[in-house]
Parts: sequence; structure tokens; C-alpha cells
Amino acid sequence: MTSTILFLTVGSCLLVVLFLFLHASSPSSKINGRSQAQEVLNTLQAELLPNWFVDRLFSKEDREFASSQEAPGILQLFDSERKSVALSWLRQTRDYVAQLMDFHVRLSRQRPDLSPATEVKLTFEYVQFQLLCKVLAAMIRMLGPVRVRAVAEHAADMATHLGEVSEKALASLDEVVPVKVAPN
Amino acid sequence: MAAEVLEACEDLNNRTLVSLPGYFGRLIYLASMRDYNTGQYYHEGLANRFSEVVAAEALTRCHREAFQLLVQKPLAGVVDELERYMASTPAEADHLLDTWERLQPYRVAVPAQSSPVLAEFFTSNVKLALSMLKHRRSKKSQRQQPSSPQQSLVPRP
Repeated sequence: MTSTILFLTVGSCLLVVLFLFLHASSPSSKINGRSQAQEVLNTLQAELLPNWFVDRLFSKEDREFASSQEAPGILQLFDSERKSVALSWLRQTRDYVAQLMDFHVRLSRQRPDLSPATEVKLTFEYVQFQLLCKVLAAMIRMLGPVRVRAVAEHAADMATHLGEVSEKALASLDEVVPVKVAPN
Repeated sequence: MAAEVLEACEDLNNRTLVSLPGYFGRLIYLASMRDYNTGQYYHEGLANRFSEVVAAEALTRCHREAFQLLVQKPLAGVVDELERYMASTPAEADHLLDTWERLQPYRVAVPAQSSPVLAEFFTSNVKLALSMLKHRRSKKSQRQQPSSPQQSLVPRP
């Protein structure tokens, strides 16, 4: 019981620290106006690879094909190649979400209707995503990409969801009020 | 401009790309239309029919499409496409496989705006396809050789 309370307290403190850190971090660039904000978001979203890529990269069918070749070393080569690309994909997806969160924080500063509950929920989802990425990276290294396809799909879905949250936040902004996010 | 680019793409497809063997043939051809120093695409015939800007945009788009189609293929499909490309070139298959493995010219075939992960996935698939084809060819040549020295020593009538 004591350990649960301790765990929850430490967890909550970490969330608050992360929330404050995200809100205090200086933005890398200035966004002037909604159209520019939309442009930044579009550029960011273009970096996220589509679902078909996750299907291909973590495909069981490809591994079966490599295995059917009955050539010495081919399956090992396949596993090592897929592992390397899967880790690169994971890195890119994690960077995408980190940039997205930075964008969201800059955008949130201009919102008069900012809901702390929504922001905390988002921060919690972000932490969850980061943890998932760490677990997934370890799983890819240990088990290989094919066996962790479901987890990878979940991570891709979470990244898409976090992108949608930023899109919704942008859509809720009043067109008349210019979005000006000045650096700290 | 957009309509013109579409028309140029169609023209390029109907006149040139349709006659090229498979996706690899198209990809290599389209990549070769790009200046290595500037990254700009140039096709004289297309530029004469449309304009240099429209031709360059059409080539960029077709190159991206050809790459996308190849990357979306399962590994078995990539191997088939590479085999098809090999059969279409005058170069000897073993020589081509060795050269591609050593120099990795397929890396240059990736469009400039591609995501680094997609580019990595493509080169990884080609690397795997090359290994598989090399293995198949060595297996085939082993089968073609006489199975035992005794057979080859049988006196001819």
C-alpha cells in the first residue's frame, strides 16, 4: 500500500515536472498567424510515415519469403536489416511526436480556452508514448520486428492520435485572433 | 500549371516509361534524368513539348511515384522486379549483381524528397534481393555442373 502511494506520488511529480518543462522550454521558431501554424503542422505531419509502411516493415510475409530461400545467411541478413530499419523508423516517429508536442505547447500559449485537464491528459499520453517507444526499441532488439508488429502498430496509432490532437487544437483557434508565439 | 504537369506526366508515361521493363527500369531511367550536382531534372523532348519547369515537375512526380510503387512491394515482388530488370539489360547477370553489391548504384535512384527511413528501407530491400538472386544463380550453376567427376570421365562413343 505504502509503495503504491509512493509510486503514484513520484509519478504525479514527474508528470508535473514534465508539464512545466514542456511549457517552459523555449520554442525554436516563431509562428505568426494561423496559416503559418497550419503550415508548420502540415510539414510535421508529412514526416509521419503512412500505415502501409508499418505493415511492410513489420511484415511476417517477407520473413517467410526470406526463410523459404533456404540460403545460408539470408534469414540472418533479413533479421538484421529489418531490425536496423525498424529502429530508424521508431527514432523518426519519436522525433516527430517530440516536435509535435513542442508545436502544441507553443500553440497552447495563445489559447484563451486552455483546459488544464486536457493538457495534463495530453502530457500523460506523451509520457506513455515515450515509454512505449523505449519498450518497443528493446523488444525490436531482442525479438526482432516481425514478432512485435502489434506493439509497433499501437505506437504508430498513438503518434497519429497525438497529431490529431494538435490538429484539433489548431482548428479550435479563432481565425480572427492571430497566433503569435514569441520565443521566451 | 498543375494540369500541364499532369499532361506531361501522361506524355512521359505513354511515350517512354511504358516501354521500360518494370519498376526498376523506370526508377533508374527517371533517376538518370536528374543532374547529380543540382538535383534538377531535365528531359529535352518533354521540355520542348511543354516547358523546362513543367517537364522537371513531371519528372519529379513520376520519379516519386515509381519509387513509392517499388517500396510498397513485398520483398518477393522486389526480387521479381530486380530479376526482370536484370533480364532486360545487356550486362551479364553475375557481373551486374557483383557491381550492384559493390558500388550500390541503386542508392542514387532514391528521389531527393524521400523520407530517410523510406530510403533506408528501399536500399535494405535491394540488398536482400541481391543476396537472394546471387544465391539462386550460384545454386543454378551448381546444378548445371556435372554431379560427379566419374560422369565427366565417361568416354564418348
